Parts: sequence; C-alpha cells; structure tokens
Amino acid sequence: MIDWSWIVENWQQIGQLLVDHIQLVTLGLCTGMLLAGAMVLLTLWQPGLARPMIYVCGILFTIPSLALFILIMPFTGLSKTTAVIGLSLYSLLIVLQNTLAGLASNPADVLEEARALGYTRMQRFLGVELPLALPALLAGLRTTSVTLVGLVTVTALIGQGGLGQLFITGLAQSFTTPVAVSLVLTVILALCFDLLFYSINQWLVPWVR
Amino acid sequence: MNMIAGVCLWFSLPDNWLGDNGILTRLTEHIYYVSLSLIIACAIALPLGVLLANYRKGAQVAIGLFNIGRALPSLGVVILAIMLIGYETSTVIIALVTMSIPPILTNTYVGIDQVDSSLKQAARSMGMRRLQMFFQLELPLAFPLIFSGFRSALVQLIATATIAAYAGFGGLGRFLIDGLGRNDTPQIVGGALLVLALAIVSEWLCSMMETLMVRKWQAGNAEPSAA
Repeated sequence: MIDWSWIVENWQQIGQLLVDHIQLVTLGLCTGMLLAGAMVLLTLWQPGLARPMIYVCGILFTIPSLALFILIMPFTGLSKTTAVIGLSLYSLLIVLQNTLAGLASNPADVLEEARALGYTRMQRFLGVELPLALPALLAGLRTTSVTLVGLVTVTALIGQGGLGQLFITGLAQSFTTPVAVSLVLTVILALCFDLLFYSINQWLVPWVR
Repeated sequence: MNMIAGVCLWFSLPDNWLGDNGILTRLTEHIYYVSLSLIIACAIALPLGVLLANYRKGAQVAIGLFNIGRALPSLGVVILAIMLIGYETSTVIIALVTMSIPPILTNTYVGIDQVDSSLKQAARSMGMRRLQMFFQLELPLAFPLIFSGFRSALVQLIATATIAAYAGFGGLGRFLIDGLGRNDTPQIVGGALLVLALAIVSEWLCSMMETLMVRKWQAGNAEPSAA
C-alpha cells in the first residue's frame, strides 16, 4: 500500500511542501493575532463592542472554509494572498473569542484593586488584565494552530495548500502513498504546534496548575 | 458590480434551481450527507462517551486518540477513504462520520464526567437508581456541553461535505468545484453563498433548539437545571 521508494525519491519536494505549509500556518496565525490585538484594543476604548464582536465571530466561524476561500477569490485570485486572508480570518475569530472571554472572566476585585492603586486604564490592561488572561489567549492560539494546519490543506483546492497538494496529486494519479504521507505529516505538524504552544504556556504562566 | 449582477442572474434562472444538477437537488444531497453522518456519529459517540465517563479505564487513551483525530485534515480523510473504499455514497458518509465523532465524544465524556460528585451522592442517598440518576441528573447537567459538541460537529460536517464534492460527490460543493473548473465566477460565488446560508440557518436552528430545551428543563423544575 505504501510505496517507500516514492517517498525516498521525492523527499525534497515533500520537504518543500512542508516548509510551505508551515509558512502559511505561521503567516495566518501572525496576521490573525495582530488583527485580534487591534480589536481587543478597540474594546478597551469601547467596552460595549466586545459582545457584538464575539457574536459576529461565532457566526463567521460557521462559514465553511472552502466557501470562504472562494468568496475571497474574485478579489485576489488564485494567489497566496487569498489563502492567507482566509486563514488569518479564521485565526482572528478563535483568538479574539478566547482573549475576550479570558479578559471578561478576570476577577472584578483584582481590577478594582488595580484602580484603587492608581493604575491608568492602559497600565491596568498591560500589567494586570493581560497577564491574567494569558492562559486563555494561549489556549486560543493552541486551538487555532491545530485548526490552521488542517485548513491549509483545503487551500490546495485554490492552488496553494502546502502538504494538501499531495492529496490532489494522489487523487489525480490514484496513488495512495502521497495521500498517506501528507496525512501523517499534517497530523504530526498539528501535534508539534500543539506541543509548542503548550510549552510556551508552561513557560510563561507556570502558576496555572 | 458585474460580479453581483452575474450572481443575481445565476440565482434567477429556473434551470439552476430545478433539474438533475439544480440547487434543490444539490441542497437535498448536502442535507442528506450531513444528517445521515450526524445521526450515525451520534449513535456511536454518545453511548461511547457515556460509557467512557462511567468506566474511567482507558478513557484518557481514547480521548487522546480522538484528539489526534481532530487534527486530521478533512480533505485528506475524504480522499483516502475514496482510495481505500471506492466511489460510493457510503464512502463519503464514512469519512464524514470519522470527522464528526471527536467533538461529540469528547464533549459527552467531559460533560458527564464534570457533574458535581456531591450532587451525585445526594441523588444516591435520595434512593435514585443508576439509570434514574443518569437521566434525571447527569444528562440534564451535561446537556449544554454535549449540545455544543453536536453543534461544532454539525458546522464541521457542512464544511467537509462541501469538500467531498472535489472527490466527485454531490452536494453544494459541486457548484464551487465545477465553477472553479469552468472559471464561472457567478456559479462559484452563488454556491459559496448557498453553503454559507445553510451553515448559518442550521446554526440558528441549533441555538433555537438549545433555548427550547433549557427552558423546558427549567419550567419542569423536576431536575436541577444547569442555568
């Protein structure tokens, strides 16, 4: 079922696709995080925006990935930009939802104490609220990265896709090996990202558990 | 503007709605794939989750395995299923079921497992039998979490069923894939809008259902409600 010699012959191509895959995930994750950060700052300025934002994120998240990529396509074509915009949008949704939920669950008495100590709004956010919400934020990043690793393969249908391209190749040639290789590598990559954010979490917030 | 006009035109042609490859046929296929897989996945994952929560042995291993399943890319699962089983409707159903078991199973397990043990003791000391305790205490308390697992499975299924069209199956994804192949933008966008509408409507139906269930349990007041 598995043609090992194919893997040996094509390892360079597989490696290149793996690098592409990681690149797409990282780009999507970083852009999504920046956007989420901007939106969180917006809620600091207008706290009333938080609830509608979470609501809109929930609705947007139900959009099937392929439909989302395809709806962006008329504007940016079959390019990497299309893939990155779609991926960033998904990561924005998960990260924003988690961060806002984390910020909202901060204990009120701690926030009041900070105010009583004379913290300004920004100082309170950076010095108290953000560190307290860090576990929620990192949990969001963890989920996002695992989701994105899977989503990147879908962008193979619009000409990108990293390892996802091996699915297309495999189906076109009725050849199981590329499909299996890609499936295994994607899962391993997802687990690596999961482990990475788990360790960052342990390192940054060792007081949790 | 041109694109919007094209999409409107695509939606306005009756041929696109009726007929063998029309919107109605594709929509029915899509709903059929999704609902059948969801029913099968629930039939497997719900009892299994309850079982795992009751007999803790092996639960961690099973949940861990299913978490790996969550990282499986849907496109790959669908394509691998076709290569191993062949082109049949059952293939796509098997792939979809595989994708939707993890969220339902994990949430059922966690939901039942996290029920407050003092409440369970109270129920036992009131003379409730095991089954009574399950239906009157554990299930109502775990319901919100189980239902949210069901919802995320549904959303994921609608998305994955779209991707199944790439491998030659029906469903609304056909419009996306065929449109891409023919470079027919109105069809692509129209198809994407249909999938979007289906996802949002089913999500809305779910939230209505949840509200109704919670209200029913609260009104009955026979069981301790989660809210």
